[in-house]
Amino acid sequence: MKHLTPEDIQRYLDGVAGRDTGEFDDHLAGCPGCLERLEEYRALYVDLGDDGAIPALPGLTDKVMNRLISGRRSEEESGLLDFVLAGCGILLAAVALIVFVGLGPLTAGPAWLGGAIRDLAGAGASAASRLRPPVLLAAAAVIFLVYIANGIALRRPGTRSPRP
Amino acid sequence: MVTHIVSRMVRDAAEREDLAQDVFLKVYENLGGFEFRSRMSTWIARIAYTTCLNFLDRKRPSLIEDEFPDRGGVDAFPSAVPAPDKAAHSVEVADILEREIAGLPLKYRTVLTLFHLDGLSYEEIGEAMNLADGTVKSHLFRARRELHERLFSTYSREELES
Repeated sequence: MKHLTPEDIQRYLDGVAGRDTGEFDDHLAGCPGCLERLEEYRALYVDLGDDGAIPALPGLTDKVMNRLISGRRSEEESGLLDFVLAGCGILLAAVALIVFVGLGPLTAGPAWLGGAIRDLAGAGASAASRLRPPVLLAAAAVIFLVYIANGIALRRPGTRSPRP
Repeated sequence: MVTHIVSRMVRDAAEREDLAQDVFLKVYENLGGFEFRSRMSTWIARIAYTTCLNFLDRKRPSLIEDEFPDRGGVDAFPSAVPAPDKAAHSVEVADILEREIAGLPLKYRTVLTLFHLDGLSYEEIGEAMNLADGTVKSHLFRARRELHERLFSTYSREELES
């Protein structure tokens, strides 16, 4: 048999060749050169299985837990902010409706509405009618920008979803 | 495992720490999507590998350096003088080997890590790194042959035995 190649020796040490047939063993018994190379590779394998020189990452668990907790907290805060923004949006939409459509039908509404409520609705319509479309547009823009900024903040590194 | 992969793929200590944290956060966030079609260690290895790879991809100059590492490392290393203390000698051997491994291409370093330190099979390494089994074997054989040539041309087997 020819001398063992480095690939033969590695396959032998990996346990994927030469073990069943005994072919490599027969050669190794009579070939000091191949045996020496096998022992070198065996020593290399032992050293490769030692992670002593890989630096530890102290406090990794605590740091990961802190990031998880702070991520969850900011998600909760973001949820509250979303709720507030939704409320502002609905209010803004209602004001816009009053400005553009008016509350005539409501203030002249049915008798069961009652005088005090009709007065209140009338005052609200009067205040809303003083708002101009540019003011409403600016308010809508502010709400939209805060919403977008909040969404971007949530996509910070480490919390976005990967595709493993 | 995560520490092994990150440390072998990324050189900067601060970046290693951030990346290791990122890997664990991704594992946590995606745990619900794990479908038990592979061992969990393989799945985590894949997340660690792709996270580091994406990071290196964003840092293109470093990636190029990783793919074509410095080949003149051995000359810069201290000679392996046998230490009287076996533990100290073992650390020294580990350091020598670690610096030699750092001189290998990125994929060689990763397959060596996954096979020898984390006990993954050829198939599992292929799954983690998205490589064919034959490519994994080829990378492993070449990496070990290169390490063998570099180390045993400089040191004796006795010096390198832990």
